Amino acid sequence: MTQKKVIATTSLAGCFGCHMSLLDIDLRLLDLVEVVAFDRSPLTDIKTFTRRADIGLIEGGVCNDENVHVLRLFREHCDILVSMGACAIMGGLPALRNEIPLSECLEEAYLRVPTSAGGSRIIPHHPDLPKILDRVYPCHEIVKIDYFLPGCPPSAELIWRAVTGLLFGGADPIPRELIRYD
Amino acid sequence: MHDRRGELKAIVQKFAADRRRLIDILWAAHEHRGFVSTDDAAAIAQELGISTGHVAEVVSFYHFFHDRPVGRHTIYLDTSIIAEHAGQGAVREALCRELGVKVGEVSADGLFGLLETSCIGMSDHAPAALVDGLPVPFLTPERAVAMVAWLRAGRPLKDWLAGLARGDGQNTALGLPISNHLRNVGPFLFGPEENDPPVVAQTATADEIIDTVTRSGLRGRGGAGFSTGKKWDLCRKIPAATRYVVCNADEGEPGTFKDRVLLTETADLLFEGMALAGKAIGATEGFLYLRAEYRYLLEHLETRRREFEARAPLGPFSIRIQLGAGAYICGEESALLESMEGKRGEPRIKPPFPVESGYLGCPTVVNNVETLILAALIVRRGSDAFRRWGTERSPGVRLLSVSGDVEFPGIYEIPWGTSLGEVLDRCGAREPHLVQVGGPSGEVVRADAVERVFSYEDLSTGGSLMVFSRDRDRFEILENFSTFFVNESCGNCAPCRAGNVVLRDLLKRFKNGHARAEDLPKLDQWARIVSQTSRCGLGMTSPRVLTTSRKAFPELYADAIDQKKSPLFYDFDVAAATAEYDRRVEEPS
Repeated sequence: MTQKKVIATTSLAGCFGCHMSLLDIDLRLLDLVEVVAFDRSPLTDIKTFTRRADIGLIEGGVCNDENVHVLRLFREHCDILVSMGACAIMGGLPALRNEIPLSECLEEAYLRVPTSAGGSRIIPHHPDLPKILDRVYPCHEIVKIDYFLPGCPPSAELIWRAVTGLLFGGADPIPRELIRYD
Repeated sequence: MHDRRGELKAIVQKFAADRRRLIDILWAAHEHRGFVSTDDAAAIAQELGISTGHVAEVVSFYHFFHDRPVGRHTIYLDTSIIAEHAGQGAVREALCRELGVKVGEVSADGLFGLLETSCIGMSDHAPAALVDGLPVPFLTPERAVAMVAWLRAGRPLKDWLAGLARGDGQNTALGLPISNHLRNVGPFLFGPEENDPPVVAQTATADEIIDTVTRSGLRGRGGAGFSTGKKWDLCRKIPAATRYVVCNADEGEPGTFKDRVLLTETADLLFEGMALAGKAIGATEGFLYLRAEYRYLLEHLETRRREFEARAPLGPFSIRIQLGAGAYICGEESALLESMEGKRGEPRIKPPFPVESGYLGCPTVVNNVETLILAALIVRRGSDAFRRWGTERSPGVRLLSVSGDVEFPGIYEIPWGTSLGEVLDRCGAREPHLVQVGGPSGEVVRADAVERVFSYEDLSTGGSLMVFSRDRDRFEILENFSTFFVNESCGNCAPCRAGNVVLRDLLKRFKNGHARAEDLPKLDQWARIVSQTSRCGLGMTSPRVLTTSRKAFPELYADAIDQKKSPLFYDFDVAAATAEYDRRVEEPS
């Protein structure tokens, strides 16, 4: 038997919706794991790369310094990098804050909310916490991205066809109606 | 209570509730209050029997229309590269500090709005600004602050401007500190007039006029270079009851200001040229579409127009001056016609061309200011007098507006066929390196290509000539041009609306040293997409900033790519991107 292909996935500033969509390939997951091994991924809970991956699927845009670090690691360890979903491609919903100065966002989120403890004046920060970037960036502004799968989320069918096509070739062309932006 | 509604109603009635006069109606509405609110737009729409959306989309299209207050005094800083090089940055900073605002904001007391706009046709007076419609030349931080103090004291701007007049003997009769800067007078346009018949003989027939203009070989001076005689002939042959003559005085190409000088000095000749065109095509009505940046010329032009109409040297011909409202794209003839009809200045699909279906669907001749003036002189003096100058395929003379790093910025009348080197010598270029011929939509030329000649065959130009010396950052110049197109795209078609942003961002990568080898082919691809699929001349020519600069300075782009950098990892400064976070979490609130 030939060696299994390796996939890695991560969710940066995303909602895990794209990962849920990936799981929506349902029983085909069983076919997939016959020929593919998942390395670093929230699905396997493997935290660091144990080997080189053929494909890295990136969900979410880049909103903090840890996202930058993880994205760069993925670029280093994956042959092909795919921006999966609207957030990875253009920042998506989190990027709505890009029009508002970061300090205003932080004040609104931590100081002005009703749940803010007893008139707290402190915006949580700690050396162990990621630092928030001035705005949310699409992945392709940080590293080279090879492919883009649009959609919020991309459908299971689109992810399936794209991944199997990239890994094994010979797949049918992806029909237009599968490529959607909502 | 102030009866805004009644006021608007009166304005609309003044223009006979004609929706095609929407630009004039909006100007009048701004006159009273400085902006047109959503309620105002609805009221105007109701009076005109059109949708509020139509009024709103027109208001939002033009730089000088606003749907919110922009201050009792509105300052528009010229953002052309010539102004920036001349120190507009320091002026901007001083004004922001003095007024306590950022660009685009209104001071807390509501007195001043600080805005920016594209080239205002004052590159020979850089850096300049338009303040309440008047040009303020040669700004410095001190001068800007003094102006603000003057206006704060409630004194009229015109009085302050009168004190700025320079003693170079070239100040115009406008009562403004503006000079014509005529550096090279003659041989034809600004040439000796003593032998001229005072006006064209009234007896000249349409055939004779068209024949003379055609034989002179006069080609349009707006840039496209279409034969003027042929255009007139085409127009008169289209069967129609009504035809129009339109003079395009929407001189918007950055770096050009020749029409400003022509309108100041030779308005009579211009009207004569329009009447001649009218006689040639069988039109009795003409329009002068004046760019809003030259609004300060309006009074002067109206006086001259009335005089001309009273004299009627070529028989009855009426002219209306239509003021634009700030949009580069309206220099495109079909966008200009849309604007004249009270709409957004979005170019029409061509064909049909205006000679066939122009203003209100009637056959219309649209000519540049310089073209019409030359036509008037040609008919006065005969086609041979014109042909004596220039080359076989580019007969006659043309005006250049020279600006940038030169001793003598101003207007140069040259015969076609004059070399770049000669012009650079004559204007006193200081260590010239990059020359922009024909404005951002024209061509980037190396200054050492001195043998190239101005002509339709080689350096074809609409008249703008910007000279940049060796110490200027070329990418900064190119980015300024690229940003100009981003700001001035009408937004109608996607390749131009989005493509120009992509091109600008790619250029920025090169400027900031972030470019990778793969960006070069990407640049070419996007340039091709934008130039080949855009709807009008703006998008077709905007990528020339990139394509011609790559051709003229291939090493510029090659050197900007650091081959040692990985093509997989882009430059991203995490420290810079988290600086604001660090600052905010550490400061006690």
